[in-house]
Amino acid sequence: MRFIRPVVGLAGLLLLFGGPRAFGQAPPPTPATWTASDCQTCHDKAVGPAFAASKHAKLEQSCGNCHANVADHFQNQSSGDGKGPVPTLKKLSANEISNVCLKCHEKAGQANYSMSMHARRNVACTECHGVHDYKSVRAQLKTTSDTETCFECHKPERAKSMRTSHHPVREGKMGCASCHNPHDGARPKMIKAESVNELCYTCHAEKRGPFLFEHAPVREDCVSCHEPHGTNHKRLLVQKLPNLCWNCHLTGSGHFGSGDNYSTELGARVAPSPSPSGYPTANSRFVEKACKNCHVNLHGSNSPSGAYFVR
Amino acid sequence: MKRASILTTLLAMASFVAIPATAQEALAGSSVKNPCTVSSTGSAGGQVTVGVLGADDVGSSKFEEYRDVPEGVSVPCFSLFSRTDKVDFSLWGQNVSRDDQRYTGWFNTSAFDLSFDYNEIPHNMGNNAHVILAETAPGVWRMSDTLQRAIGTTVDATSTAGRTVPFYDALLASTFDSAGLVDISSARKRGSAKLDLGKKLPFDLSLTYMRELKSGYRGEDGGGVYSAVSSVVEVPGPLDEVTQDIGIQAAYRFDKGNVHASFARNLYDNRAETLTVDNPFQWFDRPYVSTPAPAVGGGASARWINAPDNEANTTNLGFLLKFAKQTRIGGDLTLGKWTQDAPFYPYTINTAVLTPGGARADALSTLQQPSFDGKIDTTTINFTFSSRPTQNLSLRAQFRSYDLSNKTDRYVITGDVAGSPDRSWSVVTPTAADPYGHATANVYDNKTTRFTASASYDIGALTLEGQFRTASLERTSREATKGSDDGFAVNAVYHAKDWLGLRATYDQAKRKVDEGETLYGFQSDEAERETKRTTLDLELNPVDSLSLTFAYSRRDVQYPNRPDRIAVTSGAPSPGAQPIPNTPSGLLEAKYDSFTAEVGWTPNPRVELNAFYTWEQDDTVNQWSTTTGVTLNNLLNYAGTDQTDTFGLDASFHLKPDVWKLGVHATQQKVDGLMDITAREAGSFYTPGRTTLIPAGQGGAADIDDWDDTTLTTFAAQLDYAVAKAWTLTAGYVYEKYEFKDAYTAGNLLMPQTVLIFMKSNRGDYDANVLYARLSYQF
Repeated sequence: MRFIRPVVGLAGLLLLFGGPRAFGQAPPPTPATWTASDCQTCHDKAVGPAFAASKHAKLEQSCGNCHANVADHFQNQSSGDGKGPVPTLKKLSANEISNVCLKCHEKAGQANYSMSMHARRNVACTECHGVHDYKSVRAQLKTTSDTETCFECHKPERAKSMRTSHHPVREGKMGCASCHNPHDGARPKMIKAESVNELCYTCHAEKRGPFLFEHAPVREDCVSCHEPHGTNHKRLLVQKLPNLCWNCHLTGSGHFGSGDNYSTELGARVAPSPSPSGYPTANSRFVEKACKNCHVNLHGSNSPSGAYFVR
Repeated sequence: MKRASILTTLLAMASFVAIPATAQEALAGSSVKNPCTVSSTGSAGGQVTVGVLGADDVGSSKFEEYRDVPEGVSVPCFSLFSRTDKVDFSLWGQNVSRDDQRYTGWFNTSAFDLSFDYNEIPHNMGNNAHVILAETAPGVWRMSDTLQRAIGTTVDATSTAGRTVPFYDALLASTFDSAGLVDISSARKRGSAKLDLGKKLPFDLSLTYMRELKSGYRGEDGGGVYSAVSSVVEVPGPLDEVTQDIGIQAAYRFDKGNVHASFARNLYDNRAETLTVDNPFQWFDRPYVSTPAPAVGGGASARWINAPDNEANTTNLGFLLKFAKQTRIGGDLTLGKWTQDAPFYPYTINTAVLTPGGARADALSTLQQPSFDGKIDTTTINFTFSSRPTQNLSLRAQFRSYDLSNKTDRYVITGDVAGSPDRSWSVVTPTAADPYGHATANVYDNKTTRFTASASYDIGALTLEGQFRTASLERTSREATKGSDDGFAVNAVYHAKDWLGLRATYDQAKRKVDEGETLYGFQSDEAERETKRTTLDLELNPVDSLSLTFAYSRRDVQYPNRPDRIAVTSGAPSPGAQPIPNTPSGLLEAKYDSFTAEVGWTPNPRVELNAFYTWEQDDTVNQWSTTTGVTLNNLLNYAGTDQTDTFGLDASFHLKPDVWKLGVHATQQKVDGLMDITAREAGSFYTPGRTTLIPAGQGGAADIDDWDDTTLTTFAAQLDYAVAKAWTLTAGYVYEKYEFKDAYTAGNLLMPQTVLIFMKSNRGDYDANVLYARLSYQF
């Protein structure tokens, strides 16, 4: 019931700004007296095979959907009266170019483009997408993959993708667009979910819970501990364990300090003095998975005995 | 007919070789451009590529971490397409029948659009891991009763003082020598489809479905196995999960905007619910008694509970209104509901553990509840406004709120074996801070409300932008319960079309804690934080054939005003204790710097060159201390640095246009990890004989200079020859070398580290040469 009022308000807003006429679908375009084939006569590279295979080629008015004054230009060319108006988009600003595209594409994933970081940074649609020629299987990108397109500008991410601990991006099994919607301006970092965690759960649903025992920072934000673009530490961790754990766990009992017996000499082991309990594992907090050697269910535990994430 | 017979032959070859583990292509993700991305033109046709590959026999799983590189004949790719006025069909396949196969495409008609994707991703995380237990059922790892008894009785008969490393080495030597081998591998198989039904409808309507199967071994699992001798036993963790997602999306578009709605239901089913591991040092379930020493007893095996089944529903409602002057007003409300009600497993698998009332802790009937019935609600509210009131001025504003609220009806925990897993029962007493018995059982909610506004102005080709943002942070059951995160940014974008592009940004933010309590300092994700980010991207195209790019990025994060250490007794400052100067604890600093120089050169239409170099450095500093009474004892400072150099080169030589083409690709990334550890010399960690990590006589500091060092080098060359218009012959060579060095965890190659029984798997260095040839036919 509490949502009825906002919905009624929303409908009122729509009526106020859109008016009754707004509730009709856009009228169909007027048929043109020329086709893309006519343009191809002179612009054979622009209207080449790739363009012909695209959805744009099948549109009514085709070239005229994006290029202004095509009819005048065509008429002048046909009659031999000089070039007439030049319909190129090359002189337009990034915002103007994107507006041409958004006339049709301002919907679904592109609906919030005007708010996006790419719009703010004057990145025109045509910097990534090729209308007349393209190399990707989907989305008409100017490169063979979304990742390649993104790396044109995002150099640190390109370098991070080569780290030993990485998502299978460089193997081509996923791409930047697996997680990011480059056209979105509604969500932080253009991610394809309402929060970082919800994004991660799309592939790592086992981490979603809710769990009987929760690790609060984990519930709040996966990137507190992980760097999804690639790191040099196992499991995409931003730091090596146990250092990462020490960022928060500061109470400083011997529980955390007893790791100092581990030898840094490759291959040499230390034989610590037997501890009173006969438990010669003073180095257990440093080696291998460090804290995670015992606290294995750090993402949350549903074991009735998992309060410390060891079960 | 001729074309048909060729095609038939190729497809026959493809089907012949489409036997598991016989197909192969060049290395995905290494160097050679994917041959399967040729855009098809015309009304119908396709392409099929058949290849043969030979490679060095590489033992390290790292070589095939997310890819499949078997030798032999394969179909690296094929495509089929048909475009008519009524139907647009495309199917694209890659790595047919291999562990990393993928198929994607679409089938569009005048009535609907259907797109689909099927993607298999191998996860090879370690070859030939040594495991002293045997898997008798999925997720159950056992040791022979005889061996378990022999080891256990020997330990029990040995005094505490005698249980040294040499003792355990001798005791377990034959067991390790006869350890079995297992590859830590798993596979993800994900299929998805989207059906767009809006073509014939007055509104947009689409349905989506995704199903993913994960199977194999998740990785090194297991953990602490507790008894009189407590150890860590690693075994491969079972993985058998199915995730499904079904969704519906609808939108009604009109001249001045749209209204839209969607619903998605996500179901996660874990069919590997537990992991059970025998305890090598305890051969029967026995009550644990710690005094008098030596302790005796514990569980003969340990059981871990894996992630429970769960569900999530997400509902979205929204609108976008369009007005003149590029004015847009948008709003979205997204409601999420996550639930989890998987049946609990008993407290322990040890039959000898009893509650104070004498009930068996391994019985389901002893549980306080049969399941958790967990519920989390999320609410996201988003409003956006953007406008260009004049040709040069852009305005943007956004309000966004994300609220995660745990709605679970919690119960008060009165006892469990959490404090001494599988050994003994502990009575749990709720406190004011932990009303449900444990800190991790507290109800944890968080909410972030953010407002952002920016204005930009175009001055010719230059755009200047200023942004302001403010956020309020709310949490329950944590130290910092209220805070803020405010910041601003200034940005400049200059884009003189043909020869110069410049993007520069400066961003500064400060997170503060307004309400909360801490003795040692807030945890790093909620602590006071100052962030400065600077980026600069410069693109130059002095001539058409040359492009130069310089990119600089810096992120400087400081955690100021952390409290100095004070001795604590029972959760409060010790009587008479004063903060000890210069002893803040936790994460103190995190920095990242990156610089890239890149050049692209096309001296003529037959040569394309691109090369780059990226330098990066990650720095983190954290500190930790202990006290003796009210005075400082240890002060440890850990400073980690990863310094990275990355080179890349791409070159294409069209030796004879449309006939001969040579491609060369090379990359190298070298990461130089360094960890600097400093200990207070007067502290107990500096005591000679105890401390080897921080050796005496070295000023209290030790550098671990081979800390996660890696080098990955790849070189590839590929020669394409267009035999005829439809035929292309390709020959290629790939060299890849991986080196890994890490003194910090070098122990994982030693088995055991005292009684820590890690799996010794091969995911280390490799050196691989790959040769391949391919024949492509386009029809």
